[in-house]
Amino acid sequence: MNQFLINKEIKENIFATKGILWLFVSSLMLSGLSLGFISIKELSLMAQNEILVTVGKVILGIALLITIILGSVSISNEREQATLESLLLTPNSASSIAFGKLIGILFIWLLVFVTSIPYIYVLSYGTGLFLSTSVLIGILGSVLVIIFSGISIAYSIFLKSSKNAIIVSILTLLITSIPIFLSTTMKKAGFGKLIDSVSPVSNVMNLLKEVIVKRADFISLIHYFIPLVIYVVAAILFLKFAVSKLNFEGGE
Amino acid sequence: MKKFYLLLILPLVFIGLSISKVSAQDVSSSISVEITTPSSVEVYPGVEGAITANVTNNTSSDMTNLIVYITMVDVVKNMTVNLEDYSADVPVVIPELKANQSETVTLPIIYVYPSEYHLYVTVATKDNLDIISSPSIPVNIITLTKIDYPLVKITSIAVPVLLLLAFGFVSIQRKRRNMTIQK
Repeated sequence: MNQFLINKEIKENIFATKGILWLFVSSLMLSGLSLGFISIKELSLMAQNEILVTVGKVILGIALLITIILGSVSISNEREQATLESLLLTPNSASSIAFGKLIGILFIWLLVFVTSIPYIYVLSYGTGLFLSTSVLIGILGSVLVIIFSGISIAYSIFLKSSKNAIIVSILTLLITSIPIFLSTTMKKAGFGKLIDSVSPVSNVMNLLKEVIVKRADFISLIHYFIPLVIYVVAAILFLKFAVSKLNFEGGE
Repeated sequence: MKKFYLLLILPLVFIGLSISKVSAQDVSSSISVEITTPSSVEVYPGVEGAITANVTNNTSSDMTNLIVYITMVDVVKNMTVNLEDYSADVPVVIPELKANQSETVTLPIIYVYPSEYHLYVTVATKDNLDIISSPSIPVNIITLTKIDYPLVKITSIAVPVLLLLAFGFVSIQRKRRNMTIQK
């Protein structure tokens, strides 16, 4: 993969005003939440492992939103600004352009993750959970970012419009997040149980809870990882298929 | 005449009440349940445990499908808990309990959220609307909260401030670069 393309994507994402601003806004959210845990009575009653799960969910939520938006506009923005043709005319293959965008988005996730580490440290203080929580959030976040940014970039190629790609990507996220809105009873049988076991978002949230709260070992949680690996492969294949359809047609 | 009716009705009411009370006692004493081990629990979060309860059929007829499950009340927050979080939401079913026989059941639980609880075991049957609960045992899940409040406050202020400074630095650098290009 072309190093120049990856550097270009990283610079565009980070050194643009929006990049730092997103990090600032996400840090404000985490600061507000952390202060809430020590000052709001209801939140301060929570156990420390419960606090870590909540913070983990917020970090992953922020990362998902940022990466979905970046992925959705990645190719369609180039098309709308009439820069896609010049990009495609360079010696770089369409595949390396798309995967360069994916790596650029992964780098943004890395920054969000690094920004959140001080919060994980202070909220896990004294529990011995800092390392396991950080590693878990890092791995699960990377998995979710690969899945959803891969799908979003593919939508960006297919739909040729940033607006449409953002809407469809967010809808995809909402559909895969359905188990979060279901009650415990509904998740125990039938359709609820099925969607809870196959949803990548649900599997990630369950993993967070199992490791941080119940302190389960990784081997006993293998059934949560299998769907995630399948989703990663499926998202990359979907992106490859979308890249094969990338052409010189004008956008909206 | 009214007094006569009253005198006639009142004893009947008392007799009726006493009959219904006796029948309720009969139903509740048909099954008995008690927690055999442990007598109390004091643990740190994440510890796995098991509650052993003894269910006895006090009647002279066999009973089928007795559902035995744990209930836990958080006496600090004044609420019952969702036992799914504690991996204790699956009941044990006794398919058949012979007349005047007892059976011991073991209900697994993982102690998760720190607080003080009262834990008890309940038995329910399809054939009877009454449910029977054991006396409760105290459960104390010891808090592990060691959050350093000043550290949280410093971090919550320092991280956004540092990012804001980085934002300002990037903006100034970009302006300088643009000015250089224009020159």
